Amino acid sequence: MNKQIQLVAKHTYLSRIKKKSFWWLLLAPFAPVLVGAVVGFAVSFFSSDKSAEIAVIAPTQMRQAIKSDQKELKLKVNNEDNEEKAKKALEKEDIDAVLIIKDDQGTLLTQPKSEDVDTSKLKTFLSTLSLSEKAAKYQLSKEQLVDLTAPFKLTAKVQDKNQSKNSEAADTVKQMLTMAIGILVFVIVSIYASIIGNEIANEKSSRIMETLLAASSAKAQYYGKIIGVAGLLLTQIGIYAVAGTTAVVFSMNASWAKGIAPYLSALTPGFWFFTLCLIVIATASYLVIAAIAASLVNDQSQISQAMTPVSMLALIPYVVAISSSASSGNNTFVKVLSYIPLMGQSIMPSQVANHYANWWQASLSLLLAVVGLVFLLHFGLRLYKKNVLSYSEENITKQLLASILPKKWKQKKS
Amino acid sequence: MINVSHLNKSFGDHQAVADLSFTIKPGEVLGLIGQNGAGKTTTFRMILDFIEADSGSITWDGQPISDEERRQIGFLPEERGLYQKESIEEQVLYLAALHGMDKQAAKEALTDWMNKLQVVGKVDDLVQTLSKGNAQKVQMILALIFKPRFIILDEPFSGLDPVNAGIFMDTIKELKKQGAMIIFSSHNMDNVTEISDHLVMLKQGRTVLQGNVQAIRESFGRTRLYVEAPDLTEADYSAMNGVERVQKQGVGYLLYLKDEAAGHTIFDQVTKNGYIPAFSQQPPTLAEIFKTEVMTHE
Repeated sequence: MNKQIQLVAKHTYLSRIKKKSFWWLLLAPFAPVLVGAVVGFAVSFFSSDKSAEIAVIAPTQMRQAIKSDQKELKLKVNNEDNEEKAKKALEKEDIDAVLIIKDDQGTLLTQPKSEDVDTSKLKTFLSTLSLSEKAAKYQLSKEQLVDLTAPFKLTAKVQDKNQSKNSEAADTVKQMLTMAIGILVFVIVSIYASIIGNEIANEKSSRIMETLLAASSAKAQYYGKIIGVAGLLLTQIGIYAVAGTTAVVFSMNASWAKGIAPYLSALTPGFWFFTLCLIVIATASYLVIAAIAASLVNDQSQISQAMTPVSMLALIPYVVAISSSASSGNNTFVKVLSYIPLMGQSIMPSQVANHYANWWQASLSLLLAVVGLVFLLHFGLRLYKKNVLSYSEENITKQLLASILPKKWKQKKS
Repeated sequence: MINVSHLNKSFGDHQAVADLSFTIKPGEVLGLIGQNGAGKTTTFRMILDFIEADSGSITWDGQPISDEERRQIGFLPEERGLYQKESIEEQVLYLAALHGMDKQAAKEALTDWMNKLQVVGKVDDLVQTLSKGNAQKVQMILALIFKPRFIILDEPFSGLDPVNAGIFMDTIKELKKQGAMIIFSSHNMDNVTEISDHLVMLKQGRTVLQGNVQAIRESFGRTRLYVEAPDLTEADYSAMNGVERVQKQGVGYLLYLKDEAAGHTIFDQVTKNGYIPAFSQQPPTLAEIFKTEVMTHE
């Protein structure tokens, strides 16, 4: 690598890594998970501490059955068995609910301030109770009843050349993976595009750019900054990989790890490597676009305006990844998009995991991403060199068009 | 030797630099003067390859300036800028490294330059804590620390008080003695006169004056005459032949002559009673020439 590019990359990398903001950035993706876990725990903690008081107006046998299972149903069955009195008590909000069961039909009455009654649990319980009563009525044995109610066993398997996987596990993985990659790439691209954008805008607005270009060159500054910021991304991925591997090694025998192992076994090391390569190349492509956009600003205040088109572009694969997660992306539009540079990184990994694309197709997507990156780097350098020392009052889009359009066309227009 | 030959640059319909030519030899200082927008900064930017010339050539010892040579040009930009949140040492070492300087050598040189330019502060002070003058000195250190053979200084004295401007002037004179080729722009004509061997005056991209500073002044004739003669009044001077205008200046008078030859007869007249403390016949100052040229070509 050219010595000057190396120096610029090192300076960009070290000046960012010394800042606390970078280390907060490493923790940022876990923040929503952590907040979600805390909120979830709090909700379940506070919602589970009180059972709903209920009056059950039903045949004695059924009433007794409900009462004996009240703890499991999170209910507190009171002694009221008069329908009118029970309804009045409900009206006065003295109790939470009234369950009336007549002739195989049940009605659950609640009031606005009622504690939650788990209706699905209650429905399942009542169905089982009703089924047992009917079995007794038709004089069925316990075995006959079990045989009658047993569901049809259908095991679905995906037959692959190399391996076969449990379909249920793979389906879960597919949806989770498609969404996770979409979100992850969008977050990474947004963060790193903003880093390089701010880096360049800061140098432009502080007017240090001329000094830097006199000491090096536009090429050294451009490539150095992209490599420096990409280095930060690799550091982040590296730290996550080490932390993830450590967590896996230390929790291999834990029950939760054994629970998710079948799901994760659907994803091979080759798959992870391919996905990482694609994400890194795509992020580098977005860094180039962000660098071009930032080279057009006059000062730091314009940076969010300049980064908007970059975010909008990154939003497309994000939206496609999220919306296609339910259908697993098995449609032509999504398939075509998975080959397009700047888009494929959020889509192709799930296409591979879903077996909608083979490794040749995945390699083609990766190759196209590399070609796209090389083209963008070359094209971007031209624009960066042209704009990085220009301070124009025109809006950013006009400046960009003026940089891209051929001279002849501009003259013709004017 | 730096040779700029028939350089042209346009931005759309605006001709920023037109047919500009000059040379700078080792140990020479060239002053580039002109109004704002005359093409000075554009010329510097073309030399530094920030922008491409439409036509013409720029050579160093007869060869186009290579990227490696370009990194050996010391440059002080007109728009000063530093990394505000870095220390003086951090950014000087970074930029010195970009210029190809060894880290240890740069550290030692930084201490020397801090003393030489009388920077108030320590090397580990953050730039944002420096005064404007001290920040400008740090900027000058960035341009000079790697001992460049060719130095471009765009408005080096702007914003400096007379003491600090004097420090910069002394530094430039010392670099000249050491054999550096220096080109600088300035609006302060006294500074240009004092340190320039040659000057190029630009007006709307075109060269309106060029050559040795003293020779240019002399070419306008010695038409400024400063006289201190205690017995003579303004009316006496105005009545003398060849005097165009009289202006009180300190304890004496400045006479504007139609022709420098008139100085001889005026000398006889003001000394007819004997000794006078001052009689100095000078060509117009650079500032006067600058104003005249700007007005003439408008």
